[in-house]
Amino acid sequence: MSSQAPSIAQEPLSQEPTQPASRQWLSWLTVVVLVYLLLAAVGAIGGGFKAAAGANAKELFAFATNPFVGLMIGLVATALIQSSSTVTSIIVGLVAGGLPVQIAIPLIMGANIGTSLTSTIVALGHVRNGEEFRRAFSAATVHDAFNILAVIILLPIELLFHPLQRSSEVVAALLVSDASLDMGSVNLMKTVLAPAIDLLKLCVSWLPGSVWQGIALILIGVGMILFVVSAIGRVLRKVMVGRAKDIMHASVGRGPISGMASGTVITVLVQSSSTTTSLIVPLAGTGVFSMRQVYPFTLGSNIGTCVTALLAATAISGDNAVLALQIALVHLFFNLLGIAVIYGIPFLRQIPPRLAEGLATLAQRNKLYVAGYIGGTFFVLPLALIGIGQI
Amino acid sequence: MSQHSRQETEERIKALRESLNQLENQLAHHQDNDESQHDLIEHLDEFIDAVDHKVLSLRTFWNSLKSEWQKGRN
Repeated sequence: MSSQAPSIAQEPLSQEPTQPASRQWLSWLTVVVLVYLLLAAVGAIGGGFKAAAGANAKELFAFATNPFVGLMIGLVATALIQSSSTVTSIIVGLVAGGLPVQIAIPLIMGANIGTSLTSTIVALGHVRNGEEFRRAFSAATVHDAFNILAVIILLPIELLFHPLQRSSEVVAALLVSDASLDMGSVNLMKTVLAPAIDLLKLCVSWLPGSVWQGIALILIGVGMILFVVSAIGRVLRKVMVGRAKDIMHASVGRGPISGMASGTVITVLVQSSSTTTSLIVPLAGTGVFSMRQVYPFTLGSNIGTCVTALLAATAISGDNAVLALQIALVHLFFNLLGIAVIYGIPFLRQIPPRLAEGLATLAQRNKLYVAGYIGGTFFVLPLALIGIGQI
Repeated sequence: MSQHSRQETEERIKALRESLNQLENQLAHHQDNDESQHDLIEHLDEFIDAVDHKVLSLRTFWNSLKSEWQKGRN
């Protein structure tokens, strides 16, 4: 390790980076099984929600019809679960089961903010070394600041003009109608997933009535997604670390677009934006990677993470396939638009790093600011707003 | 071509050399930084699991906050 090694305690490597071919194959087989389980779980949530709610899905989510309440629910849920991939996959399943897309959009935006908590927590491990902590904390909170700013700008625009809802609707309709031309692939997906979904339905068939069976399916689906997303991340991190190194080496000394692209590709490879944004924190803590390099890299992770929801949407077939794909596309378009607007306009581009650096300077001065920021932004304020929204 | 006195020409050459030196220093600094980044990326295996250190990070922060608080009270 170089002399610039960060002070955070690192666990020893659990596995050599260069695995033997047989182990690589086993890892890839595990990934395939886990993706299958993820798709089955999303299908189970969709089927379960449809069975439990029937035509009353909108009424069931009446508490979230206020978009600010929906936003806060998405934020708190993701901050608690610590995985936006899990929350967005669940939302895709719920939309497939009848949750209206306009209610789901603020939930997706909230999930985008909630996921940035993970790297902020990782940065806390550097607290014993003042300057290293300042750099690590600013590298982590630039993601928070960007995602919050994106919601502040895009949520009101979405509520007024619905650009995300409309554009995703058009693209989803195009993609699904194209896919429908090839009925073989649609039926293949349904046929491949049918045994797993049928097995899950069989497991809950002893429960009385479709409502309880539907609720049980939702719970099983959520549990499966929690397990799968975490497991898939662990396996892919081991398999993909060599590739991630190559990508990062290639982007050294290049511009922000290259940094963004490497953040996107690494996130797609490891299927977790938290992994990408957390791995950059100790790198930034050393001072070798500057804020100018870290910032576009974390934005790339916002794009890469959308792949999970798109993957989840492929589990849905039938009439609601277009809606499932639509909400997954909303996630992607929101992040693309956020980057285009905030990073594209020089005045706005400077806001997240300045906020992050200001907050990190305060955090270095007094740790109470850190506790206040995390508790307030991710829990107290959202929960208070949810409470006020119910009055 | 504009006419410069000998002294002006010498001063211009001196200024250009200084600029060139500055640029070369900047380039060397960038190259050093790039090398440090490549070295650090070689250790990515140790950082890629940083996401799993959340509990440890929270505990470290909590202990630090507690000791700072106690120091403040004393």
